[in-house]
Amino acid sequence: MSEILLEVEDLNAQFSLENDCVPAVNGVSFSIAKGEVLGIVGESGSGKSVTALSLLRLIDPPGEITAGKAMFYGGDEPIDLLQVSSKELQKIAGTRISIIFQDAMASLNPVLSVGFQIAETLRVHRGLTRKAAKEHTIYLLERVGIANAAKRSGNYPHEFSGGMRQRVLIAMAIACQPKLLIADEPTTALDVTIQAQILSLLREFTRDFGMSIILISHDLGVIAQLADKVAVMYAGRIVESGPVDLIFHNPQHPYTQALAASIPRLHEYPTRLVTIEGSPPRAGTEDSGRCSFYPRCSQRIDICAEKRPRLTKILPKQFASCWVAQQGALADV
Amino acid sequence: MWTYVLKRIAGTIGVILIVSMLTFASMHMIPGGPFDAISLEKQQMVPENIKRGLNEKYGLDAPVWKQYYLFVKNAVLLDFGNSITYPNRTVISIFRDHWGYSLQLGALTFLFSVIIGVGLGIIAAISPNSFFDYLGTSVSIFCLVIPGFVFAILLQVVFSVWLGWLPTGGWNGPKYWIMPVLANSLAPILVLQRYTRASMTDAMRANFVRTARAKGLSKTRIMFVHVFKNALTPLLTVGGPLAAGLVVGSFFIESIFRIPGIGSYFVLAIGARDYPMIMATTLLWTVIISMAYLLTDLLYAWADPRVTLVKE
Amino acid sequence: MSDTVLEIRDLTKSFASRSAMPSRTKIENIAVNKVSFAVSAAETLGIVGESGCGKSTLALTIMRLYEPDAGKIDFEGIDITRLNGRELKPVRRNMQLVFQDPLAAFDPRLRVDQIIGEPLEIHGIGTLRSNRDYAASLLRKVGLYPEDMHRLPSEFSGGQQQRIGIARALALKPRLLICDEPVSALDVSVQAQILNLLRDLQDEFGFSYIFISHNIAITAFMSNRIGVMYLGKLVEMGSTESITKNPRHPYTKELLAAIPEPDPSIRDNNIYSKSEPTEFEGRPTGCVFRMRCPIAQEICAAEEPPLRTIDNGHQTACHFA
Repeated sequence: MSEILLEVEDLNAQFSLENDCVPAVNGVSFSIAKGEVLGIVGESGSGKSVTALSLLRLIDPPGEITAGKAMFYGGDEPIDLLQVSSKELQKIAGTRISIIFQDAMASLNPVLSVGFQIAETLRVHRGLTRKAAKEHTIYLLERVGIANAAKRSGNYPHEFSGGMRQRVLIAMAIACQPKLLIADEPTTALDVTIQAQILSLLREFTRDFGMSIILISHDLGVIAQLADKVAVMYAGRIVESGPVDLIFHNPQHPYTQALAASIPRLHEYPTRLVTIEGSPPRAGTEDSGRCSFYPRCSQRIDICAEKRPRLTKILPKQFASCWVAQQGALADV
Repeated sequence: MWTYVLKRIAGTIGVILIVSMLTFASMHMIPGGPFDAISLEKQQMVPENIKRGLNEKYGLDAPVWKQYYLFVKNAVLLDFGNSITYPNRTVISIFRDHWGYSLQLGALTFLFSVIIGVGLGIIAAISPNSFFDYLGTSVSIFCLVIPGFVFAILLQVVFSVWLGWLPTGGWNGPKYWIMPVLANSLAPILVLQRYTRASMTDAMRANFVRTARAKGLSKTRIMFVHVFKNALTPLLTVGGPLAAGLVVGSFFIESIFRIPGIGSYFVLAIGARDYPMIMATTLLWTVIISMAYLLTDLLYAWADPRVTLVKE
Repeated sequence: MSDTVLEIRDLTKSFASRSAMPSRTKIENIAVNKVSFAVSAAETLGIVGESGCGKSTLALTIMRLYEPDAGKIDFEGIDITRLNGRELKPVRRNMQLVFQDPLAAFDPRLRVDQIIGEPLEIHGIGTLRSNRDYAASLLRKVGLYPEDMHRLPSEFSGGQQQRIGIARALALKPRLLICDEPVSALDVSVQAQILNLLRDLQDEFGFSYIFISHNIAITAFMSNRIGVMYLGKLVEMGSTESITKNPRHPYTKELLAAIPEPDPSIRDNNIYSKSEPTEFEGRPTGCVFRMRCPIAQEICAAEEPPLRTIDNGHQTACHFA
């Protein structure tokens, strides 16, 4: 059993708009071990991105983290990422925990060279000299598969293609060999062949330096290929979690089941796809006192409209927040 | 890049030519000539025969195109002739003697405005809705509402007449610079403060700032290394023409503080129908603005690597 | 034999530009390079390819929103390649486009009924009242409530907006609908709804689709036949089954292999993070795919492989397929 690297307990984040406090993340708890890949699946409004940003406290007003703990065991002492001072957090961000975002072009500073932006992490956090940082930058660019690294390090972000830019972002993120990489939809904007390469690159790093990854995506294929365990998020909450093979082969929550069933598979030729009625709720719509998936659920029963289910153990390794699933588990016993 | 610069300079020559033609034509289209009234005080009209003689002497009776041709012929050699209002002095010598003061005033104003305007703008952007933000906004509103010359007179009254700390006019040393520069800076400070605040705030919202924070960089570093360089480009666009405008002096400020600059020549020449002076000042202005735009474009391309100088 | 709704032959469209790459050379970008295919009535032809392959440009060129540089477009038997605006107008009624970003495709200040009614207005069909009724029936057809007719598109969710876009495209009862990445901007759980809708509408009205997407699984679900594009060229074309089960072109094979299978037991644990080919501008000589192709030989640089029929309508442009 691997050691736990990060343990998140009851994370809550909300956005304070004019009259309202709109909850975006509602009581989310999960943990990730060293060298493990946790896949967080969700659609828009699920709160998956806000969860990721919360870990490094990158949520800006009007958003704020209202409750929760995020115990990080990747340093000499365990610390609570949500409580620690900004100065301490600055030392951890970019070194022990890194985060990469979806839109690589927007994430890079357009007026600074790529080499500068990578070397910056090394100079600020590791105190390397300009020359040493430059050499290491070139090494990093080669490591992520950019040809002609020495020359390209002087280029600007707009001079790279989408896939290359994402590689640059990854190089920047792993520069200080972080224990944890948070990847928020890292391949969503990329072509499928480039995506395969980037995923393979991430897999390589997990293997080579035991880096843990929190991989956030709406693409079940990507999750299936990379994750060791999965958490499914819906309307700001985790509705199901478990090891990846069990989640895909024996999903317990109706949402997970329907999601997996509604994707067209390459070698099946149905005439119609299984659908989930309606749309995912807009971020933060509060649905007090009932299961948030109730309006779209094809398996719902009366109690689903009256009480919100909690994340409970359904099978030895699987957890789901669903009354129907719980009843099914009890029936089996 | 140098081919680009040369192309732009060649273009400027074309612009100068066109501007000179338009100005010359406009000048002669305004009714009245330089000799229609000797002086406003005396309200005297020049007798017809003397007027005719003077017009002949200055070649003003020749057809306009001929006058233009002569003008160009001499202008190319930088000979703009004598000023009609000041017949003993050539236009060039007037410029030589007076432009220096305007340049100094303009340069000091620019420096001061940049420091205060951009500085207040940066501070306002970094701490929005703070005391400094409101300070910056108040300063801007002040600059907007009070015209430069009113402020100038106000300063004079308070600091020269009542308190006697500063001289009322002239340009003999640093003490003489304070009030004119302050008054001249109002409009520039306003422009620079607002633009800086806006472009910094915009740049701060960009996604790469989030990445920089995720990299654990300090707020100061993010502001000055990442954000500012991105905020620079709109400032350059605004700063170029601003500097150009300052360099040709200010009629009001120079008059109020008795600075012997060339500002007055720009304004008064038209009323006096001082044709050589009008041509010279207009062309000077054209050249300065063209060079300012060229410089702005070059700096822009340096500041933002996504911008290429050469057109598609 | 079903009649052909659209046939394009050697359609070509190129753009001249200056590259953003460090070389800054002037490049001629041939976005659509001698593409030929035909679409029959009530058929869906899927076009797949990655970014830069020219599939969107192809759609816009077929619609004459870009002027073709060469080639022929036959729509319902009429050569529309060089028709002028006036002559083109009646043709446009029968050929409509569904866009990727529905909100961006609407005038934000128009209400839903105005958006759907606009094509009718432009072509001078119907009266204000009859059009309003017609718009209501269209909304019902695409699964929305006619009462919502008076709202602005921004008040709807992404999936609903796309339904409005589809309703608008249907308004003129076209014979051919070109769908350019119609579900890419939508949530996964909503994609299935829209795809089902598109199929149901086709079953009901019998029009043809050209379905463009970078997602092959979705395209396979929608299409009877699939064409694969790379850098402006059509490199493979065949029935959905033969393309997905038996791809012949190396690029199609690479594309299919790269799709992340939503099944963790089929995990490709290979590491192929090799660097992307050095970026070069313009087209390579000979075969357009040879720089990335694992089986490229000398002949590939010398000669451009033509699109050959291998068997039963399955065509591929490769010397070795």
